[in-house]
Amino acid sequence: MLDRRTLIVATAGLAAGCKPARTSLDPRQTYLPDRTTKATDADRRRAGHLLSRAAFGPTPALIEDVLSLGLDGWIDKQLTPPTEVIGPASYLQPTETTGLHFRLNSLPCLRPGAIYELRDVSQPRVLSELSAATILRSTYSQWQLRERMCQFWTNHFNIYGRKVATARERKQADAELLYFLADDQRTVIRPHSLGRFHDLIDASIKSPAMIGYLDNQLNKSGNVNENYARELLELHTLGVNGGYTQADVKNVAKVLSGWTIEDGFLKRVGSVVFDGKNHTRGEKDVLGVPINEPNGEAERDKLVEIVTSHGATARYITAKLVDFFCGHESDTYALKDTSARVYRQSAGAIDKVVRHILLSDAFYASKPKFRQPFDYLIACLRATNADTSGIGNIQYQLERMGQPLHQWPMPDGYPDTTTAWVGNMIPRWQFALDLASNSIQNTKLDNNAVKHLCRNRFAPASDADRLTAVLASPEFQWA
Amino acid sequence: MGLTPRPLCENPAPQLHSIAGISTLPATILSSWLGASGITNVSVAPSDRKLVVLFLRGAMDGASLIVPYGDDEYHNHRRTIGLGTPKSGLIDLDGFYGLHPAAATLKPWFSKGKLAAIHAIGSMDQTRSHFEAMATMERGAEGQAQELSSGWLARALHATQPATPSPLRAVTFGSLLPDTLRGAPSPSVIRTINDVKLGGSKALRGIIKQLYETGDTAAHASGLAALRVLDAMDKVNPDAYVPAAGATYPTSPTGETLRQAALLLKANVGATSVFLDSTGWDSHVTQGTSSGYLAGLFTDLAGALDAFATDIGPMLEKTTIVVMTEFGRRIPENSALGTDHGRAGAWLVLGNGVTGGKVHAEWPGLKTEQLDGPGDLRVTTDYRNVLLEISQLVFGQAITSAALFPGLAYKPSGVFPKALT
Repeated sequence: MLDRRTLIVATAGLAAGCKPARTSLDPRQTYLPDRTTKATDADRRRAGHLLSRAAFGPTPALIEDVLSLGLDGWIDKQLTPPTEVIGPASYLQPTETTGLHFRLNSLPCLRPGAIYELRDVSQPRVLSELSAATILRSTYSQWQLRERMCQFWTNHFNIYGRKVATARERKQADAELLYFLADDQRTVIRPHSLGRFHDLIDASIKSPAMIGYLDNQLNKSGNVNENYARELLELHTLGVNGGYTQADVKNVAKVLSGWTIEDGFLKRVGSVVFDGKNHTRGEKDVLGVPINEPNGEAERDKLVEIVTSHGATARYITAKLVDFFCGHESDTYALKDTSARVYRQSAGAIDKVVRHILLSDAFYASKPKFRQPFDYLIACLRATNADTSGIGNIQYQLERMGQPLHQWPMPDGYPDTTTAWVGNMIPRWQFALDLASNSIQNTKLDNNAVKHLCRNRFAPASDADRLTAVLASPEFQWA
Repeated sequence: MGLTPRPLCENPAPQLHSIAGISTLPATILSSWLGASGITNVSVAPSDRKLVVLFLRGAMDGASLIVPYGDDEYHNHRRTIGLGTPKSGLIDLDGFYGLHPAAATLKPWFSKGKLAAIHAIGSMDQTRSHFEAMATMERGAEGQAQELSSGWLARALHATQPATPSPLRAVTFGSLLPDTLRGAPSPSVIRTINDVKLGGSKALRGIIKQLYETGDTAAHASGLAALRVLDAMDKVNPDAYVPAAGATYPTSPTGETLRQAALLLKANVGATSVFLDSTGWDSHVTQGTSSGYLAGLFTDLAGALDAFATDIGPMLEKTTIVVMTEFGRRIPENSALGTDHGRAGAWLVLGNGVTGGKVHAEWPGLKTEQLDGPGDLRVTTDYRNVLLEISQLVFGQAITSAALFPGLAYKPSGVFPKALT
């Protein structure tokens, strides 16, 4: 019905029904299309590899796209998606397909408005709609690389949506954390996912969701709370081995003191505001640079400049991006070096760093990367061209596999290693079975896509068993 | 480690199956894992020692659970959130330390000599970062976590791996493998026991088995282990489980994981080590006193431990439970009536081998000059000594200090005297 892609799956040199060898189920090769485009097998493999990592899995149409545009042509196109226009009157985005518009429009919690307006909606509904939006965009967006980067940054700036605190002074901020998440996605993650890292930090530091999550509304002169300051250095910018000291943490906390979440009757509840009387005045030294500015806003701006232009940040952020695209188990030592250089030379331009990584030899030589549950789930939906609303049981499946969205309690985000996830295969198999039996509510398979995916493998087993076997196979767990 | 007489092969010999073939395990092998009557058959073989590790994530405030009320300085540092003395409701343990009143259900175990506390315990690493501290402690590293890639429990399991271990030998409840079990031989990650099953036809399981036998990636290895787990758990019915001796678990995540841990240990399917998490201990803000936020967590923790120890009954004689946390919290309270990241904290140990009824501690004192850095309890017991003793007790003397905790100059903790005889 909506947004149907035609899956034209060729056998790509595989004898149907033969003994399942490793390559035959490798998702990077399963979708190689008919030779409608002049391209070598090596080209096709590289296209499949790129789409397994820079997208949430290849489709025949996407492979064709890459083959006709070239690797660099496709990457450059993906790096310059049209700006998302999100107005209160309509959530329609002309930059996406009608199918995705239609689905996103059925999620009213995503419509922008004053944050407090959401508070009339139950928290589970807000969480469910936010998660659905992520599932839908990842599955159906034509701007796959942007969705990949949104996934990366959402995890990098992880915020636990269900944080609850008993703080006397919390001024409702904790209770509303979940309501801030939509705003955080809209103002921090999505607009800056391919922009400058500086702008991303600058937006995050002004995000009520982050301020509330890391307790900065409690950070006051004389009663310094170091929580946000520490994570800003340890997790968001320099990295734990970035060379900062406890004194730096203290001083960052002083710079941030007084920044709080506004609350009160008839105010624009939930915005981040500066409370000068709770700010620690005077000069602060951060990473060897004195901060001595006329006002709190200028101090914060200077802090953002210092931490985002630091050499340790260039190394830490780019190394994390290299690991995201290449996996931890690949030889990427040199690539990390050159990527950090690109960061420094471009003043932290994320798109330039990503382009550098995705066009490097090390990327194409990188070993298979174990799919996190979310990546696995989306790859299954894409491979079967499933029609999902993103709501309901599909989210429970994610939870059972261990990766419910916005629910990782710690600020470090979900881990991205094989060892963290590989021990939990059974829920993946159960998901494959549920999907293959069409027993996930609001989620239906595309029979044509399934037919092509299964061909006559695993005959004479039932159709559901055969599809389950393809999706549950060890090969499908890797990208 | 004589787990069971007729064990399942760790690496079953490759067998030929038709593509839709059924390749479940012979029933005789299964029954040897499950005992004659499955879950109800609780047998404690002399060598069948078990370990439960409960990790309190976020740094539990040791000074609030095991309160050093006999140190006058305590009352100065904790003017608002202090817990007073036995006269004001604290449960006295030995005239110096008191138990938080919300943890009262632990007192009988302490009095019976089954439970001990260890105070001023922690890591020699100076970090006050949760993530770094957990990474270091779960690996059992001397300083920086990067020195060791595997977890301490993983090394203990490797050092004492029986020729034919159960697929459920090491289990963690949750969805991620904790660093403690990083590198362990086929650890099982289980969200809930109810999820340890796969619907669908027998033919499907046969196909999946064949797929996972054809290859050597980490996914293949994990998948084969998962298939053995499925086979073993086919005979266990979690819905029919009734805790023994009227034990009532709190309906909290901690209560539920301990209930499931008991179920699994009693099911006699070869589970030896169970790793559990408890979250929410990072009490920077309004942690409360005899009631309030931490009190709620203590009630829950104590209730869950009490139910578990009651439920496993005679198996407690063979089971050691350790409740650990990455570090303690700052001794002076903060302005938000909570506590910030500190250094040493308090642990609990329960069950087999424990010299119970005692708070083991070389108390460092709470005067400003006795505190570490910004106001933290000094570490006087390196936690690795305790974990080494537990590992030797549970897995055998073959485990050396050098293999488990490189760089550790072992010093007896006094908590497990029987471990080193």
